[in-house]
Amino acid sequence: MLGSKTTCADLRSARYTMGTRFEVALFGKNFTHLQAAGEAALDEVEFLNDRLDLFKPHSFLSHLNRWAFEKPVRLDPDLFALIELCLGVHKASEGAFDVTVGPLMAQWGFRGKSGDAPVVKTVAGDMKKVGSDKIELDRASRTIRFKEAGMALDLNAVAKGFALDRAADVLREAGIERALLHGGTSTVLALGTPPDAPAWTIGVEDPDGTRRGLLKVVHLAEGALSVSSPLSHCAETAGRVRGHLMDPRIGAPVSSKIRLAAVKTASATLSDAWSTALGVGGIDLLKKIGNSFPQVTGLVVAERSKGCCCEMAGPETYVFKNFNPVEKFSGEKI
Amino acid sequence: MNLEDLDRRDFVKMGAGMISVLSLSPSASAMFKPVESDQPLLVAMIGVGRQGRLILGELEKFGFVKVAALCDTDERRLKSAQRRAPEARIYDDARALLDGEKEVQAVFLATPTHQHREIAVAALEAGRHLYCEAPLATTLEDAKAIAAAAAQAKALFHGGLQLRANPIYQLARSFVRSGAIRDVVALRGQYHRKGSERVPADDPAREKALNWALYRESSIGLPGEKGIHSFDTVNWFLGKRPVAVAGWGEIMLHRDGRDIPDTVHCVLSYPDQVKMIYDATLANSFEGSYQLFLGTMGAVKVIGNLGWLFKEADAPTQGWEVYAVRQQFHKEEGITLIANATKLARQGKLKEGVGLPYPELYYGIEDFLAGIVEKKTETACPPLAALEAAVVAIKTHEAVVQGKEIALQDEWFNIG
Repeated sequence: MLGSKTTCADLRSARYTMGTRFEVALFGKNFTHLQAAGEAALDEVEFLNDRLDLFKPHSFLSHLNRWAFEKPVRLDPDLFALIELCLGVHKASEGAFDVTVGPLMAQWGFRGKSGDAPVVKTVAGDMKKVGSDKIELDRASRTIRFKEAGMALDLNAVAKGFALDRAADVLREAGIERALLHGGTSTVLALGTPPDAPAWTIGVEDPDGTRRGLLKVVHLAEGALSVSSPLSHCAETAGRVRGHLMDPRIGAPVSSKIRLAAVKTASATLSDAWSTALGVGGIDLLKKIGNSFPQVTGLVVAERSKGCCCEMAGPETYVFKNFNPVEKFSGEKI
Repeated sequence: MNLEDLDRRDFVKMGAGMISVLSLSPSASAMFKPVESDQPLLVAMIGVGRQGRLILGELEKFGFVKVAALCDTDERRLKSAQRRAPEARIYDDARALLDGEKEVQAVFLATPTHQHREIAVAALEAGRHLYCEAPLATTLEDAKAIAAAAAQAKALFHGGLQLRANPIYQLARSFVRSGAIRDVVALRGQYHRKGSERVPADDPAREKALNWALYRESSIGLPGEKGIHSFDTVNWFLGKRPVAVAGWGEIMLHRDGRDIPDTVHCVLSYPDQVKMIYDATLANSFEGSYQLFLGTMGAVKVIGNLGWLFKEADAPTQGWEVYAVRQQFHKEEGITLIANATKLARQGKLKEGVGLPYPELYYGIEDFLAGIVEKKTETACPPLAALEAAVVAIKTHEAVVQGKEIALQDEWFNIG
């Protein structure tokens, strides 16, 4: 999704974790210190993966999902703040973003279960276990509780961004002022600026592989960019390939109308969350949001209908600043 | 890929030859409920670096535990830890914490190893239950002093060797001790993880203090900080300790001013001519960490929360093996060790029981907390076990540094 053109880094450090490759590009003169800082940043990502990985039965998230209906589960301040942020995006996106989609993701085959299409009754049953309104957060005790049995948080939509934000904190604590971090090329975070330019140059690939060049070039200085593409991960259910983005409002994967949603903002956690929300809600959501979250810009690529439900007229791209106003983008190539 | 990192997603990807659903299900996980108590337990954390942070993360899982105080001599680390436990009072001196926190009943000690003695003895003499991270100390004298204080104390002591409370290790030990692999003929262990283990410090004054593990003046190196868990596992499984240790070490990758080897090879000689080959490196991650027991009728391998029994072709077949879950590793087929296997098998859910619901560190901590709640007299890692492991680790490091074999004296293993 994303590629970057940077001045040659003084040190690059990488690690496989969260199901992808995280990389940190660092700039400075003290190689030993850079290496230690880069490793510490990636250690932080690994630490968070161990805590938030839904696939690991021994992760903290698995512990939370296991017990939160039976009793309140205490959270550390970072995780509490993360879930509060997710609830905020859930509300502002009118439900297009929802971290309680765990049961639905399993039901539709995105979490290792069989690929049978769920029957309507099953989905309806699972919908009882879905909904951020069924989460109870208690600030005084810093705990979370589920109101329904069988609920499960799935933080995959924000985990990479959250991990990058924390990794950047580690770098700052180590006195690092310039760095570029990414998690699997779907989220990139810039710390400061490159040594010889006012910003890093990040390319957003066109979701239509037949086009040449990049869809858009984004300049990033001290901020984050996330890209969500519904068909980047798929599962086959009942002979049909479906994208991995779940629409929590209907309990099913989104239609392929949204090709790509890219969001740029100060925090990678927020850019991750909103790119997912817009990947689900698309242009309609964009037009409704207004100025809920300032300093958020980006673009959405959506299929355009010619009026007949069966006919598509090719993708349109909308650019937004502060979610408002929405402008059509001519799709200039670089 | 390191086997210890395998999870359900990886098993599904592995495809043919592997059972596709091999993970701990929610119902199997529910068999491992964390210990609970009606009475709140106030604890303090002394040393809030990397290990301290991991301990704090596990303590969150116990609703009755309240972290009342944090202590560290490094101001930045203390502030970082306070962000994670904002209700805790902070100290930069352990004695001040012990004097100021009379209500604290238990102390978790995770300072640099060479600083354990004074704090551990003070905590025990103050009547606090103590969880002391392994190894106990970097010298025999310090290790004996801590073990002696712990043996005399009325409070509970845990020496940080968390694998002794790990259900998979307990199960694997029962297989070895019951003769499932018959006579043990050889042992192998390793710790492979590429990384400098250096803590970033932009201030030279902090650098030496934070990177104590990289210098001989303050560290017993890889044998002490990593190898000790392997050495103790073998001691515990066999019920024996080595009679001699030998080792070699080099800096193979991280030539950054450290004088502790980043790659070590050790040979531990046990009674009956059994030897353990142990290697540890920070220059390569292949196959991570594991412990292997080779016997005349089979082998047992343990990796964190997973374990397997590999049988020789001429080993007798037991009735229960018909229902066993098996996993294929290239040419070897292992019987997966599953905690609560009998109960799960009765429910027809044996395949759902692979793995454990909590990380390795959790089990040591839970054992300690359960000991306090249930008023036990001893934890899974009592003072003598902690001392024995520390002596082996200290002397193995010494052998590595000197490049020679050291015969282990019985008197080194006596507490009093």
